[in-house]
Amino acid sequence: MTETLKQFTADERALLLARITRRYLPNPGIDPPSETSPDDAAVQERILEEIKAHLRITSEEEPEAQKVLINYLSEGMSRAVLENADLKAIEHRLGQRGELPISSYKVKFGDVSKELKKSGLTTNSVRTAIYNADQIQHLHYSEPEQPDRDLSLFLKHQISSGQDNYTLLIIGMREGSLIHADVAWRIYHLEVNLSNAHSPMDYLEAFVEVYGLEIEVGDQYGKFIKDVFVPGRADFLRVKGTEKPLASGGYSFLKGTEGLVRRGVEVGMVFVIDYSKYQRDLRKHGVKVSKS
Amino acid sequence: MKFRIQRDYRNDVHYVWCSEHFDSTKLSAYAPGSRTARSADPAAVYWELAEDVRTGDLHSAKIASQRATLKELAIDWEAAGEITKDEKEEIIYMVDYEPIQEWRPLLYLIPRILVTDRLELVSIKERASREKEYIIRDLQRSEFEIIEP
Repeated sequence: MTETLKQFTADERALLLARITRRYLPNPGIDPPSETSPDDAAVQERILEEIKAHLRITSEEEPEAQKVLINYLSEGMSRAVLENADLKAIEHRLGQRGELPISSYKVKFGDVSKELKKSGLTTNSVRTAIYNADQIQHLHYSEPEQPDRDLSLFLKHQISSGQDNYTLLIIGMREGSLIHADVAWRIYHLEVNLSNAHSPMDYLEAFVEVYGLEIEVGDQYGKFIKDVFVPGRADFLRVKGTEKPLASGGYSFLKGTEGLVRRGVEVGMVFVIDYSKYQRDLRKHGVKVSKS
Repeated sequence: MKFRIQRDYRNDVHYVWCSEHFDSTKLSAYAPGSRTARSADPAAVYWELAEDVRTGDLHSAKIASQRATLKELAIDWEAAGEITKDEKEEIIYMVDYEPIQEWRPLLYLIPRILVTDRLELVSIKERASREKEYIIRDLQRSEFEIIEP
Protein backbone atom coordinates (compact mmCIF):
# COMPACT_ATOMS: atom_id res chain seq x y z
CA MET A 1 0.00 0.00 0.00
CA THR A 2 1.35 3.44 -0.86
CA GLU A 3 2.15 6.02 1.80
CA THR A 4 -0.71 8.26 0.72
CA LEU A 5 -3.24 5.42 0.67
CA LYS A 6 -2.31 4.51 4.25
CA GLN A 7 -3.86 7.79 5.40
CA PHE A 8 -7.35 6.68 4.36
CA THR A 9 -9.96 4.23 5.63
CA ALA A 10 -10.62 1.03 3.72
CA ASP A 11 -13.80 2.46 2.12
CA GLU A 12 -11.98 5.63 1.08
CA ARG A 13 -9.09 3.62 -0.34
CA ALA A 14 -11.49 1.51 -2.38
CA LEU A 15 -13.13 4.60 -3.80
CA LEU A 16 -9.83 6.31 -4.61
CA LEU A 17 -8.50 3.22 -6.37
CA ALA A 18 -11.78 2.85 -8.27
CA ARG A 19 -11.52 6.45 -9.50
CA ILE A 20 -7.93 5.90 -10.63
CA THR A 21 -8.87 2.60 -12.29
CA ARG A 22 -11.57 4.32 -14.31
CA ARG A 23 -8.90 6.31 -16.18
CA TYR A 24 -7.58 3.11 -17.70
CA LEU A 25 -10.84 1.45 -18.66
CA PRO A 26 -12.81 1.85 -21.89
CA ASN A 27 -15.08 4.86 -21.70
CA PRO A 28 -17.74 5.42 -24.36
CA GLY A 29 -17.58 9.18 -23.81
CA ILE A 30 -21.34 9.59 -23.61
CA ASP A 31 -21.44 11.04 -20.11
CA PRO A 32 -19.99 14.34 -18.95
CA PRO A 33 -16.73 13.80 -17.06
CA SER A 34 -17.38 13.15 -13.37
CA GLU A 35 -16.62 16.10 -11.15
CA THR A 36 -13.51 15.74 -9.05
CA SER A 37 -12.41 18.46 -6.68
CA PRO A 38 -8.87 19.74 -7.21
CA ASP A 39 -7.90 18.28 -3.85
CA ASP A 40 -9.24 14.83 -4.75
CA ALA A 41 -7.58 15.01 -8.15
CA ALA A 42 -4.27 15.87 -6.50
CA VAL A 43 -4.59 12.95 -4.08
CA GLN A 44 -5.41 10.55 -6.91
CA GLU A 45 -2.44 11.85 -8.89
CA ARG A 46 -0.12 11.41 -5.92
CA ILE A 47 -1.32 7.83 -5.33
CA LEU A 48 -0.93 7.00 -8.99
CA GLU A 49 2.62 8.33 -9.04
CA GLU A 50 3.45 6.26 -5.96
CA ILE A 51 1.99 3.14 -7.55
CA LYS A 52 3.89 3.70 -10.79
CA ALA A 53 7.11 4.22 -8.84
CA HIS A 54 6.46 1.04 -6.89
CA LEU A 55 5.82 -0.89 -10.10
CA ARG A 56 8.73 0.86 -11.85
CA ILE A 57 6.48 2.01 -14.66
CA THR A 58 8.01 4.82 -16.62
CA SER A 59 5.66 4.90 -19.58
CA GLU A 60 2.08 3.84 -19.10
CA GLU A 61 1.46 3.91 -22.85
CA GLU A 62 2.92 0.42 -23.17
CA PRO A 63 0.12 -2.21 -23.15
CA GLU A 64 2.15 -4.42 -20.81
CA ALA A 65 2.62 -1.53 -18.37
CA GLN A 66 -1.10 -0.78 -18.43
CA LYS A 67 -1.88 -4.41 -17.75
CA VAL A 68 0.44 -4.44 -14.72
CA LEU A 69 -1.09 -1.20 -13.48
CA ILE A 70 -4.67 -2.41 -13.90
CA ASN A 71 -3.87 -5.65 -12.08
CA TYR A 72 -2.32 -3.73 -9.22
CA LEU A 73 -5.32 -1.40 -8.95
CA SER A 74 -7.69 -4.34 -9.19
CA GLU A 75 -5.95 -6.19 -6.36
CA GLY A 76 -5.87 -2.99 -4.31
CA MET A 77 -9.65 -2.56 -4.68
CA SER A 78 -10.19 -6.16 -3.54
CA ARG A 79 -7.95 -5.71 -0.51
CA ALA A 80 -9.69 -2.50 0.49
CA VAL A 81 -13.19 -3.99 0.16
CA LEU A 82 -12.55 -7.45 1.52
CA GLU A 83 -9.95 -6.81 4.24
CA ASN A 84 -12.61 -6.49 6.93
CA ALA A 85 -15.19 -8.72 5.28
CA ASP A 86 -16.09 -12.20 6.45
CA LEU A 87 -15.31 -14.28 3.36
CA LYS A 88 -17.01 -17.36 4.78
CA ALA A 89 -20.18 -15.37 5.34
CA ILE A 90 -20.10 -14.04 1.77
CA GLU A 91 -19.62 -17.55 0.41
CA HIS A 92 -22.45 -18.79 2.62
CA ARG A 93 -24.86 -16.10 1.39
CA LEU A 94 -24.04 -16.74 -2.26
CA GLY A 95 -24.24 -20.48 -1.77
CA GLN A 96 -27.57 -20.34 0.03
CA ARG A 97 -29.05 -18.31 -2.81
CA GLY A 98 -27.74 -20.81 -5.35
CA GLU A 99 -25.41 -18.24 -6.89
CA LEU A 100 -22.11 -20.05 -6.62
CA PRO A 101 -20.87 -22.02 -9.60
CA ILE A 102 -21.39 -25.69 -8.95
CA SER A 103 -17.65 -26.33 -8.64
CA SER A 104 -17.57 -24.02 -5.60
CA TYR A 105 -20.03 -26.14 -3.64
CA LYS A 106 -18.94 -29.05 -1.49
CA VAL A 107 -21.13 -32.13 -1.76
CA LYS A 108 -21.79 -33.80 1.55
CA PHE A 109 -23.45 -37.10 2.30
CA GLY A 110 -25.01 -37.75 5.65
CA ASP A 111 -26.28 -41.17 6.60
CA VAL A 112 -27.76 -41.61 3.18
CA SER A 113 -25.87 -44.50 1.67
CA LYS A 114 -28.86 -46.71 2.48
CA GLU A 115 -31.12 -44.26 0.67
CA LEU A 116 -28.84 -44.23 -2.40
CA LYS A 117 -28.56 -48.02 -2.44
CA LYS A 118 -32.31 -48.15 -2.97
CA SER A 119 -31.53 -46.80 -6.43
CA GLY A 120 -28.37 -48.83 -6.88
CA LEU A 121 -26.21 -45.73 -6.57
CA THR A 122 -23.05 -44.84 -4.70
CA THR A 123 -21.95 -41.57 -3.16
CA ASN A 124 -19.21 -41.32 -5.78
CA SER A 125 -21.60 -41.64 -8.71
CA VAL A 126 -23.93 -39.04 -7.20
CA ARG A 127 -21.10 -36.61 -6.46
CA THR A 128 -19.79 -36.94 -10.01
CA ALA A 129 -23.27 -36.38 -11.42
CA ILE A 130 -23.74 -33.20 -9.37
CA TYR A 131 -20.44 -31.69 -10.49
CA ASN A 132 -21.16 -32.61 -14.10
CA ALA A 133 -24.89 -31.99 -14.08
CA ASP A 134 -26.61 -31.24 -17.39
CA GLN A 135 -29.17 -29.08 -15.61
CA ILE A 136 -29.42 -27.54 -12.17
CA GLN A 137 -32.42 -25.84 -10.62
CA HIS A 138 -32.02 -23.97 -7.34
CA LEU A 139 -35.28 -23.48 -5.48
CA HIS A 140 -36.34 -21.93 -2.22
CA TYR A 141 -38.12 -24.84 -0.65
CA SER A 142 -36.92 -26.24 2.67
CA GLU A 143 -37.62 -29.43 4.57
CA PRO A 144 -39.76 -29.10 7.71
CA GLU A 145 -36.94 -30.39 9.93
CA GLN A 146 -34.21 -28.34 8.22
CA PRO A 147 -35.61 -24.87 7.55
CA ASP A 148 -32.13 -23.43 6.88
CA ARG A 149 -31.54 -25.65 3.87
CA ASP A 150 -32.91 -24.96 0.41
CA LEU A 151 -33.70 -27.40 -2.34
CA SER A 152 -31.57 -27.90 -5.45
CA LEU A 153 -32.40 -30.36 -8.22
CA PHE A 154 -29.76 -31.84 -10.51
CA LEU A 155 -30.14 -33.81 -13.73
CA LYS A 156 -27.50 -35.95 -15.35
CA HIS A 157 -28.48 -37.77 -18.54
CA GLN A 158 -27.01 -41.24 -18.99
CA ILE A 159 -27.48 -42.21 -22.58
CA SER A 160 -26.28 -45.65 -23.60
CA SER A 161 -28.11 -48.41 -25.41
CA GLY A 162 -31.59 -46.93 -25.79
CA GLN A 163 -33.43 -49.52 -23.67
CA ASP A 164 -31.51 -48.50 -20.58
CA ASN A 165 -31.20 -44.77 -21.14
CA TYR A 166 -31.94 -42.92 -17.97
CA THR A 167 -31.61 -39.56 -16.31
CA LEU A 168 -30.29 -39.31 -12.81
CA LEU A 169 -32.34 -36.90 -10.71
CA ILE A 170 -30.69 -35.80 -7.49
CA ILE A 171 -32.36 -33.94 -4.68
CA GLY A 172 -29.85 -31.83 -2.79
CA MET A 173 -30.33 -29.41 0.05
CA ARG A 174 -28.19 -26.26 0.04
CA GLU A 175 -26.71 -25.03 3.27
CA GLY A 176 -24.43 -22.17 2.36
CA SER A 177 -21.77 -23.63 0.09
CA LEU A 178 -22.61 -27.20 1.09
CA ILE A 179 -24.95 -29.45 -0.82
CA HIS A 180 -26.39 -32.28 1.21
CA ALA A 181 -27.14 -34.88 -1.40
CA ASP A 182 -29.78 -36.99 0.26
CA VAL A 183 -31.81 -38.65 -2.45
CA ALA A 184 -31.25 -39.69 -6.07
CA TRP A 185 -33.41 -41.57 -8.51
CA ARG A 186 -32.83 -43.12 -11.89
CA ILE A 187 -35.53 -42.05 -14.30
CA TYR A 188 -35.62 -44.62 -17.09
CA HIS A 189 -36.81 -43.06 -20.31
CA LEU A 190 -38.67 -46.23 -21.17
CA GLU A 191 -40.72 -46.09 -17.97
CA VAL A 192 -41.45 -42.39 -17.54
CA ASN A 193 -42.98 -40.13 -20.12
CA LEU A 194 -40.55 -37.22 -20.41
CA SER A 195 -41.90 -35.75 -23.61
CA ASN A 196 -42.94 -32.53 -21.86
CA ALA A 197 -40.11 -32.45 -19.35
CA HIS A 198 -37.62 -29.65 -19.77
CA SER A 199 -36.53 -28.45 -16.33
CA PRO A 200 -35.40 -30.64 -13.42
CA MET A 201 -38.72 -29.86 -11.73
CA ASP A 202 -40.54 -31.21 -14.81
CA TYR A 203 -38.51 -34.43 -14.52
CA LEU A 204 -39.43 -34.71 -10.86
CA GLU A 205 -43.13 -34.26 -11.63
CA ALA A 206 -42.97 -36.85 -14.41
CA PHE A 207 -41.20 -39.28 -12.07
CA VAL A 208 -43.79 -38.78 -9.33
CA GLU A 209 -46.59 -39.22 -11.85
CA VAL A 210 -45.35 -42.80 -12.41
CA TYR A 211 -44.02 -43.78 -8.99
CA GLY A 212 -46.00 -41.52 -6.67
CA LEU A 213 -48.80 -42.62 -4.37
CA GLU A 214 -52.08 -40.76 -4.12
CA ILE A 215 -51.84 -38.57 -1.07
CA GLU A 216 -53.97 -36.19 0.91
CA VAL A 217 -52.58 -32.87 2.07
CA GLY A 218 -54.95 -30.42 3.69
CA ASP A 219 -57.95 -30.37 1.41
CA GLN A 220 -56.03 -31.53 -1.66
CA TYR A 221 -55.60 -34.97 -3.18
CA GLY A 222 -53.15 -36.10 -5.81
CA LYS A 223 -49.68 -37.48 -6.39
CA PHE A 224 -47.75 -34.24 -6.62
CA ILE A 225 -49.20 -31.52 -4.47
CA LYS A 226 -47.86 -27.99 -4.67
CA ASP A 227 -48.49 -24.74 -2.89
CA VAL A 228 -51.06 -25.59 -0.26
CA PHE A 229 -51.68 -24.13 3.19
CA VAL A 230 -52.36 -26.72 5.90
CA PRO A 231 -53.72 -25.56 9.27
CA GLY A 232 -51.80 -27.08 12.15
CA ARG A 233 -48.27 -28.36 11.88
CA ALA A 234 -47.89 -32.05 12.58
CA ASP A 235 -48.92 -34.96 10.41
CA PHE A 236 -50.00 -32.84 7.51
CA LEU A 237 -49.23 -35.57 5.02
CA ARG A 238 -51.34 -38.71 4.79
CA VAL A 239 -51.53 -41.43 2.18
CA LYS A 240 -54.99 -41.28 0.68
CA GLY A 241 -57.47 -43.69 2.22
CA THR A 242 -55.47 -44.28 5.40
CA GLU A 243 -55.66 -42.61 8.74
CA LYS A 244 -51.94 -42.92 9.38
CA PRO A 245 -49.47 -40.20 8.66
CA LEU A 246 -46.82 -41.22 6.20
CA ALA A 247 -44.01 -43.39 7.52
CA SER A 248 -41.55 -43.63 4.64
CA GLY A 249 -41.10 -42.70 1.03
CA GLY A 250 -42.56 -39.26 1.63
CA TYR A 251 -40.88 -36.03 0.71
CA SER A 252 -42.21 -32.69 1.79
CA PHE A 253 -40.79 -29.26 1.25
CA LEU A 254 -42.03 -26.06 2.79
CA LYS A 255 -41.98 -22.68 1.16
CA GLY A 256 -38.55 -21.43 2.14
CA THR A 257 -37.94 -20.43 5.72
CA GLU A 258 -41.40 -18.90 5.87
CA GLY A 259 -42.93 -22.37 5.55
CA LEU A 260 -43.71 -22.77 9.21
CA VAL A 261 -46.18 -20.10 10.23
CA ARG A 262 -48.19 -19.75 13.41
CA ARG A 263 -51.45 -20.99 12.08
CA GLY A 264 -50.10 -23.90 10.09
CA VAL A 265 -47.75 -24.90 7.33
CA GLU A 266 -47.14 -23.33 3.92
CA VAL A 267 -46.38 -26.47 1.96
CA GLY A 268 -44.34 -25.95 -1.21
CA MET A 269 -44.38 -29.46 -2.60
CA VAL A 270 -45.25 -32.93 -1.31
CA PHE A 271 -45.12 -36.40 -2.81
CA VAL A 272 -44.68 -39.99 -1.73
CA ILE A 273 -42.67 -42.50 -3.70
CA ASP A 274 -43.83 -46.10 -3.96
CA TYR A 275 -40.41 -47.70 -3.68
CA SER A 276 -41.71 -51.19 -4.39
CA LYS A 277 -42.91 -50.12 -7.83
CA TYR A 278 -39.79 -48.06 -8.49
CA GLN A 279 -37.44 -50.87 -7.55
CA ARG A 280 -39.35 -53.36 -9.72
CA ASP A 281 -38.55 -51.15 -12.69
CA LEU A 282 -34.93 -50.75 -11.64
CA ARG A 283 -34.55 -54.53 -11.56
CA LYS A 284 -36.07 -54.77 -15.03
CA HIS A 285 -33.13 -52.66 -16.19
CA GLY A 286 -30.61 -54.84 -14.41
CA VAL A 287 -29.93 -52.54 -11.46
CA LYS A 288 -29.03 -54.26 -8.22
CA VAL A 289 -30.86 -52.52 -5.43
CA SER A 290 -31.19 -52.99 -1.72
CA LYS A 291 -34.66 -53.44 -0.29
CA SER A 292 -36.54 -50.29 0.61
CA MET B 1 -19.94 -12.93 -15.00
CA LYS B 2 -21.06 -9.50 -16.11
CA PHE B 3 -24.45 -10.88 -17.14
CA ARG B 4 -24.92 -12.50 -13.73
CA ILE B 5 -23.95 -9.34 -11.88
CA GLN B 6 -26.34 -7.20 -13.88
CA ARG B 7 -29.09 -9.79 -13.56
CA ASP B 8 -28.68 -10.27 -9.81
CA TYR B 9 -27.59 -6.83 -8.62
CA ARG B 10 -28.95 -4.40 -11.24
CA ASN B 11 -32.54 -5.65 -11.46
CA ASP B 12 -31.77 -7.53 -14.68
CA VAL B 13 -31.12 -4.27 -16.49
CA HIS B 14 -28.05 -4.57 -18.68
CA TYR B 15 -25.53 -1.95 -19.80
CA VAL B 16 -24.09 -3.01 -23.14
CA TRP B 17 -21.52 -1.71 -25.61
CA CYS B 18 -22.54 -3.11 -28.97
CA SER B 19 -22.09 -3.12 -32.71
CA GLU B 20 -24.36 -3.48 -35.72
CA HIS B 21 -22.27 -6.31 -37.13
CA PHE B 22 -21.02 -9.48 -35.49
CA ASP B 23 -18.05 -10.20 -37.69
CA SER B 24 -16.56 -7.40 -39.77
CA THR B 25 -14.31 -9.81 -41.66
CA LYS B 26 -17.41 -11.35 -43.25
CA LEU B 27 -18.60 -8.02 -44.68
CA SER B 28 -17.83 -6.85 -48.19
CA ALA B 29 -14.94 -4.43 -48.43
CA TYR B 30 -17.01 -1.27 -48.76
CA ALA B 31 -19.93 -2.19 -46.50
CA PRO B 32 -20.57 -0.16 -43.35
CA GLY B 33 -18.76 -1.84 -40.48
CA SER B 34 -16.20 -3.59 -42.65
CA ARG B 35 -13.33 -1.60 -41.16
CA THR B 36 -14.21 -2.20 -37.54
CA ALA B 37 -11.06 -2.51 -35.48
CA ARG B 38 -10.32 -5.95 -34.15
CA SER B 39 -10.57 -4.73 -30.54
CA ALA B 40 -14.14 -3.55 -31.21
CA ASP B 41 -15.28 -6.40 -33.41
CA PRO B 42 -17.74 -8.61 -31.47
CA ALA B 43 -16.54 -11.79 -33.18
CA ALA B 44 -12.87 -11.06 -32.45
CA VAL B 45 -13.61 -10.09 -28.84
CA TYR B 46 -15.79 -13.17 -28.44
CA TRP B 47 -13.24 -15.64 -29.74
CA GLU B 48 -10.34 -14.07 -27.86
CA LEU B 49 -12.19 -14.38 -24.57
CA ALA B 50 -13.52 -17.83 -25.43
CA GLU B 51 -9.96 -19.00 -26.12
CA ASP B 52 -8.66 -17.49 -22.86
CA VAL B 53 -11.38 -19.34 -20.95
CA ARG B 54 -10.89 -22.59 -22.88
CA THR B 55 -7.18 -22.62 -22.14
CA GLY B 56 -7.64 -21.38 -18.57
CA ASP B 57 -5.37 -18.40 -19.24
CA LEU B 58 -4.83 -16.91 -15.79
CA HIS B 59 -3.06 -13.90 -17.31
CA SER B 60 -5.79 -13.02 -19.78
CA ALA B 61 -5.68 -9.26 -20.37
CA LYS B 62 -9.35 -9.28 -21.32
CA ILE B 63 -10.40 -10.93 -18.07
CA ALA B 64 -8.07 -8.70 -16.01
CA SER B 65 -9.67 -5.64 -17.56
CA GLN B 66 -13.18 -6.99 -16.93
CA ARG B 67 -12.29 -7.78 -13.33
CA ALA B 68 -11.08 -4.22 -12.75
CA THR B 69 -14.16 -2.80 -14.48
CA LEU B 70 -16.61 -4.80 -12.38
CA LYS B 71 -14.84 -3.97 -9.13
CA GLU B 72 -14.73 -0.29 -10.03
CA LEU B 73 -18.44 -0.38 -10.82
CA ALA B 74 -19.35 -2.23 -7.61
CA ILE B 75 -17.49 0.34 -5.51
CA ASP B 76 -19.12 3.15 -7.44
CA TRP B 77 -22.63 1.65 -7.15
CA GLU B 78 -22.26 1.29 -3.40
CA ALA B 79 -20.94 4.83 -3.03
CA ALA B 80 -23.99 6.03 -4.98
CA GLY B 81 -26.31 4.03 -2.71
CA GLU B 82 -27.43 1.76 -5.55
CA ILE B 83 -26.28 -1.47 -3.90
CA THR B 84 -25.55 -2.42 -0.28
CA LYS B 85 -22.14 -3.01 1.29
CA ASP B 86 -22.91 -6.75 1.40
CA GLU B 87 -23.72 -6.73 -2.30
CA LYS B 88 -20.51 -4.88 -3.12
CA GLU B 89 -18.53 -7.46 -1.18
CA GLU B 90 -20.36 -10.31 -2.92
CA ILE B 91 -19.59 -8.88 -6.37
CA ILE B 92 -15.91 -8.45 -5.58
CA TYR B 93 -15.76 -11.91 -4.03
CA MET B 94 -17.30 -13.47 -7.15
CA VAL B 95 -15.04 -11.51 -9.48
CA ASP B 96 -11.94 -12.65 -7.57
CA TYR B 97 -12.75 -16.18 -6.57
CA GLU B 98 -15.04 -17.76 -9.13
CA PRO B 99 -13.53 -20.14 -11.67
CA ILE B 100 -12.43 -18.92 -15.07
CA GLN B 101 -15.39 -20.68 -16.76
CA GLU B 102 -17.61 -17.97 -15.27
CA TRP B 103 -15.86 -15.50 -17.60
CA ARG B 104 -16.92 -17.30 -20.76
CA PRO B 105 -18.29 -14.87 -23.32
CA LEU B 106 -21.98 -14.62 -24.09
CA LEU B 107 -23.25 -13.18 -27.33
CA TYR B 108 -26.29 -10.93 -27.05
CA LEU B 109 -28.60 -10.79 -30.03
CA ILE B 110 -30.54 -7.52 -29.78
CA PRO B 111 -33.28 -6.76 -32.34
CA ARG B 112 -32.63 -3.19 -33.32
CA ILE B 113 -36.30 -2.28 -33.50
CA LEU B 114 -36.62 -2.72 -29.74
CA VAL B 115 -33.83 -0.32 -28.85
CA THR B 116 -33.59 2.22 -31.68
CA ASP B 117 -34.60 5.13 -29.45
CA ARG B 118 -32.09 4.23 -26.79
CA LEU B 119 -28.97 3.71 -28.89
CA GLU B 120 -26.24 6.15 -27.92
CA LEU B 121 -23.39 6.55 -30.34
CA VAL B 122 -19.98 6.09 -28.73
CA SER B 123 -17.89 9.22 -29.04
CA ILE B 124 -15.66 8.95 -32.09
CA LYS B 125 -12.52 9.65 -30.10
CA GLU B 126 -13.31 6.70 -27.84
CA ARG B 127 -13.93 4.26 -30.69
CA ALA B 128 -11.29 1.84 -31.80
CA SER B 129 -12.05 2.72 -35.44
CA ARG B 130 -14.35 5.06 -37.34
CA GLU B 131 -17.06 2.42 -37.57
CA LYS B 132 -20.10 2.92 -35.37
CA GLU B 133 -20.37 1.51 -31.86
CA TYR B 134 -23.31 1.98 -29.52
CA ILE B 135 -24.18 2.01 -25.86
CA ILE B 136 -27.50 0.86 -24.47
CA ARG B 137 -27.71 1.75 -20.80
CA ASP B 138 -30.92 -0.02 -19.90
CA LEU B 139 -31.30 -3.15 -21.97
CA GLN B 140 -34.08 -5.28 -20.52
CA ARG B 141 -33.74 -9.04 -20.36
CA SER B 142 -36.76 -9.40 -22.64
CA GLU B 143 -34.95 -7.40 -25.34
CA PHE B 144 -32.14 -9.79 -26.15
CA GLU B 145 -31.35 -13.42 -26.70
CA ILE B 146 -28.20 -15.01 -25.37
CA ILE B 147 -26.21 -17.17 -27.74
CA GLU B 148 -23.31 -19.41 -26.82
CA PRO B 149 -22.06 -20.71 -30.19
